[in-house]
Amino acid sequence: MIAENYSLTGKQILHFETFGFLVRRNVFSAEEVAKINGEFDRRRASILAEIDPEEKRTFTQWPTRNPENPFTASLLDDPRIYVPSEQLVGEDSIPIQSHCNSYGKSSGWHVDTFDRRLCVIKNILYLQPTTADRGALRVIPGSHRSPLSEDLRNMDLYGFHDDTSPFLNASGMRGEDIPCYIFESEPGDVITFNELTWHAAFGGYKDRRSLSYNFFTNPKADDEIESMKKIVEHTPANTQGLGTVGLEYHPNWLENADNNPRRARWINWLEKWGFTDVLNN
Amino acid sequence: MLTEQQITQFHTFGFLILRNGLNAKEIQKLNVEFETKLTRTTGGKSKNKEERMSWPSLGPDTPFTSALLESPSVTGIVSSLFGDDYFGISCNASSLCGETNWHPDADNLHMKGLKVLCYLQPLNGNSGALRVIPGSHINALHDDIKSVQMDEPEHDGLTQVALVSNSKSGFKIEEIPATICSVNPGDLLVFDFRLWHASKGGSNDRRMISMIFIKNAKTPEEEIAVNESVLKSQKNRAHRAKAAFGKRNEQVSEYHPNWVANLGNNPRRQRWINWLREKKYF
Repeated sequence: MIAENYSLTGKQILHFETFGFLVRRNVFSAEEVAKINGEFDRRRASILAEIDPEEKRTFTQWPTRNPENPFTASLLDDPRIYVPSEQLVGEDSIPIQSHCNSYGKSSGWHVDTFDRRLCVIKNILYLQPTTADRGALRVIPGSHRSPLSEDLRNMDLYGFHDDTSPFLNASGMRGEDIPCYIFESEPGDVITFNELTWHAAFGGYKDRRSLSYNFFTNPKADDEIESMKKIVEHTPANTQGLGTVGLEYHPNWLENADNNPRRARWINWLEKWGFTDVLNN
Repeated sequence: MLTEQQITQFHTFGFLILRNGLNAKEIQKLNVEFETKLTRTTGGKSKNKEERMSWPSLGPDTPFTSALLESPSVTGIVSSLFGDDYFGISCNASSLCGETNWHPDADNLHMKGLKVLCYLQPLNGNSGALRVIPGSHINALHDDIKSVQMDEPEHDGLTQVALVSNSKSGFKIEEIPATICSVNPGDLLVFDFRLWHASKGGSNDRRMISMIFIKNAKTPEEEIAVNESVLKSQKNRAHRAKAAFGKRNEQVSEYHPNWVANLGNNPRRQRWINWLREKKYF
């Protein structure tokens, strides 16, 4: 019953497929966002005290699946997150990573993957209001598809920081000048995008907050399996590069004390593919 | 002339905004000519204009607007994108009204043409600025958008060239993700015919000068696309001229005899005229 209430409509799915992203407004209430922010405050403070007391890092990220932020951890089992994700990526899809993100600056134009053999989506919940000049996510509609995706790559737009984008450097343009849709939002809104979709955020500031939950297609075809093997292989280096703090899968979460069948399926899959090893070591 | 990056931007996203392409003095001249002409239209005479008024501007009563089609500030843009083998097709002025549904100006992807727009008032997302879906001039995105149901008001049957179905449960104009081309007078907006675009909001007298250029067809497919475009533009013009001037034919000729006479023996214009004649634009 609950699952049906959070199902996407055909119109929403078509929007996602056509433009590579989908916006849902007021998915979480103000009380829920306040609860998440309270947990975020405490966890961030303890992490900074431990690893970055002078707050020199420009990006701090930690997994949600941790008993120190129980409400945030519970959102992965919340139908508002997993039901739409399963509709878009498959009923047997898996959330490999789920993070609390505290950014220190803007993010230039990039994609999260160039590999189109596996479908990967990311659900993002921003914990502060966002506007065009204050951290709103920007996406280029339809850029998850060929040839626009490759055209953007070939024009050398890619650059996680503006000053590393050859196109912007050569043209004298700013990242803000690239045509796109701007996701201006209130806390509680959720944007879900295909990780092939080009995106950026400008007007960054210290402790710009979000929660992100990504879901991967369960690989079946040979090329999908090959792709997933590469992801497993590269995950330790990628995670290290992002400076993720703490275990991706806390023992409490892996224990699955409530015997949640969906979580049990996820855990079996993560163990089978080796993610519990590569992301917890 | 455009920079290499501007050319890349146009081909990748299907449009380009060139800030301050015309100066304040030039905008003032355009406004004076626009005002004079608007007062002669049926809408301009009405106190409550509720229709789009559009008229050709290649006549001697709008000399500055007419010259824009051949001015270096405009042809330099077109040459950068199409080389020198293109034709200037028209220079129109429009007093826009209401919203414009999502549509491309050409649905045949072999069509190589562009529009240069100059708005005479500042416009943003709430006041009728053009909205475009970047990259929608090419497939797969161009055709994918046709499957998106739009919850659209009745349209004039002319702007709507693609098979987009109307549905009350569909998307509203502003729900389609797009770039809003906020502009100030003097900015030039250049877009590919095939790009999906729309507008929402604004006054009943949003003023725009639009110029159309077509690249010379090189393949049989391009030739077919150009011929389709010619037919469509003839239908559009007849409809809009009638709406603006009723039965007074003297006002509605797209190509004024003086312009066609080409008294200055401008070789580029003569080449355009020859092509227009061949295509039966006259």
